[in-house]
Amino acid sequence: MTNNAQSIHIKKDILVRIVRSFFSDDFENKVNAIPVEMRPKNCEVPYRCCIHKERAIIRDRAIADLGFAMEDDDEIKSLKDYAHDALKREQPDEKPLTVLEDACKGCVPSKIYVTDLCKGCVARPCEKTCRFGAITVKDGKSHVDGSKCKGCKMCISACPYNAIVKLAVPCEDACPVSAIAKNEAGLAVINYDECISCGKCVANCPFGAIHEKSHIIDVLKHIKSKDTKVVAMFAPAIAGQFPGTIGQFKTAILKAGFDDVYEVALGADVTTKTEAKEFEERMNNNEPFMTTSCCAGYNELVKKHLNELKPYVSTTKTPLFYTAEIVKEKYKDSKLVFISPCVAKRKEVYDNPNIDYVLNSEELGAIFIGRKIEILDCEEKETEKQPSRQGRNYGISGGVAGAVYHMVKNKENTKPYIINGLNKEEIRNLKKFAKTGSCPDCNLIEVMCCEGGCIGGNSNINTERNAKKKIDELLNKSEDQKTE
Amino acid sequence: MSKVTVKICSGTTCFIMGSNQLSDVIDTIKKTYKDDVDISWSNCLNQCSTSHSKAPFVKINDDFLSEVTPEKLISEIKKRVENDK
Repeated sequence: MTNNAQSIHIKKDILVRIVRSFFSDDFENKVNAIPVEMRPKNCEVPYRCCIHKERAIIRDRAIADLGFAMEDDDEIKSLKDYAHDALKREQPDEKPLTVLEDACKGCVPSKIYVTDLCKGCVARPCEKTCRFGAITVKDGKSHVDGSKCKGCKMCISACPYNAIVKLAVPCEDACPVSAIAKNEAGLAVINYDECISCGKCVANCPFGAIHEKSHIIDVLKHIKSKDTKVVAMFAPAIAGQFPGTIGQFKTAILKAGFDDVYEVALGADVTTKTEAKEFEERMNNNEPFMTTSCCAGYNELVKKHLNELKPYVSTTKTPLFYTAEIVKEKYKDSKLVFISPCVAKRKEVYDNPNIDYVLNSEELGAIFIGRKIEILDCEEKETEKQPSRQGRNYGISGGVAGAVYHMVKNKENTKPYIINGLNKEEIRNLKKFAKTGSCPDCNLIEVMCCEGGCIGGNSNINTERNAKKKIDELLNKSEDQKTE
Repeated sequence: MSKVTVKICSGTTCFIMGSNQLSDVIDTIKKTYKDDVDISWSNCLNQCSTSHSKAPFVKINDDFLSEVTPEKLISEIKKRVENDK
C-alpha cells in the first residue's frame, strides 16, 4: 500500500473513465477525450507546471491502462489509436511495468551532497573516513568528487553537524535488487534482466511515474462480447480491500460480468497440505531448512539473484496454481482472471498457461465504479466449498508458515521464521543461509516480498491495518483446516 | 450546544476513491471530541452519481464535503465544533 494518495486518486479516476468509455457506444473517441475532460480549458492546475503537462501525464497513464508501454510511444499516436489497438490485442505483454516519461524526471540523480550546514571544521572526519579519496575541503567547505564517490555513506555518519546528505531517488532506494536507475537524461529505466516485479518502485515513486500495464481492456473485451466464460479468482488479501462481506463481494464480481468467482484461498489449502508434507520429508532427510514458495516476487528473486538458495525452496506450487487447476476442471475453455494486489503475480500468470489475465484491486474497483455496482446493496453469495481459516490467512505475513505449522504433526521440530518484506538486508540474510546451509534457530522460512504480506501490496485500496482487521473478521467465521 | 453529525460514505465509489483512508480519523475524532461529534460510516450518500472524481464524500450536518482527505475532515470538524461554542 502506498501513501501517495493523490496520484493514486488520479490513477483510479482515469481507470474509471476508461471503463465507462468501454461500455459506451464510442470507446475510442471517449478515451481520446479523457485528458481534456479531466483538465478542461481554464481549469485549475493542481500539481504540475501547466495544464499541458497535466494532460500529457494523464495521456501517459491512460496508455498504460490500455496495456501499452510508454517506452514504445512515439508521441504521435493518439489515444484513440491506442484504444483501437487494445481491442485488437491477443495477449498482454510479458513485462508488467512501464515508466511514464512525462511524470518522471522529478528527481536529481542520486548522489552524496554537502549542504550549507558544513562548518569546514578542523577535524574533517568526512575527509578522513572516505576510503575513496572523494572528499576534499576547499574554501572552508567539504566537496564530493562524484567521479570517485561510491555512495558508501561513511561521510554521512562521520559528520558531527549532519551536514552531508544522500540525495534520494525513491524508486532506486526502494528497489531491493537495484533493477531501476536513472539514465543520463534523468529518466528512470527498469532493467528487466534484474527486475523481480516486486512493485516497490510503483509504491514509492512520489510522482506515481511507474505504472502497471493493465489487462483491464483484455478482460472487459471478453466480458462484453461473451465469446467465452470469464472466471475470477481472487487472492486472500483481496478479501480485505472492499466494503461489505465476502459474500457480497462475490456477488459484486458476478454483477461486474464474470461468470463465476473462486477464492484462491481454496488453492492455498492444497498448498498447505502439499508443503507440510514436503517439509516433513525434507526434515526427515536431515535438510537444514526449507523456504515457502508462494510469493511470486520471492520466486523471481531466487531465479534471478539467489540461485544458490534454490535447493532449499519448496517445490510446492502456489495457491494460484492449484486454484487455476480446480477452475479449469469445471471451465475448460474459459478465460481465467486473477485478482491480486501484486505486480509479480503478473509474471507468474504470464508463465502459467492455465491463467490468462491479472486485475489488481484498483482495476477491479474501477470496474465496480464504472458499472455502478454498490457492494453494500449486493446479496450474499453462498459458496459450496469454503476455504479454511488458514488458507484465508495467506495474504498476511506469517499466514503461510502458520498454515504449514498447523498442518505438520511434529510441531516441536518446526521452527518458523518470517521474512516480512524483502529489502537488501534480508536478501543478504537469505544469501548467508544458502551459503552456510543453515538458518539459526529456524527451519521453516516464510518469505513475503511485501511488508505485512500481500495486504501490503502496491495496488491495495485499503490500508494494511484495515485490511488485516477485515480479514481477521473473516477468519473468525472460518473453520480450521482438517489435519488428517 | 448542538452536536456535529458526521457521516462518512462507504459506498463503493467513495470507499475505493479513498474514504477507507478516513477510518483512522474516526477513532481520533471520537477521542478528541467525545460527545460533541457523532461520527460514523454510512451507506452510499448518492453524491457520486454526478462525478466519481469528487469522491470520497462526507456529510457534515446538512452539508456535503467532497474529495475528503484525513486532513480536510479533521480541520472541517474542528471548525464546526469551535464555531458552535
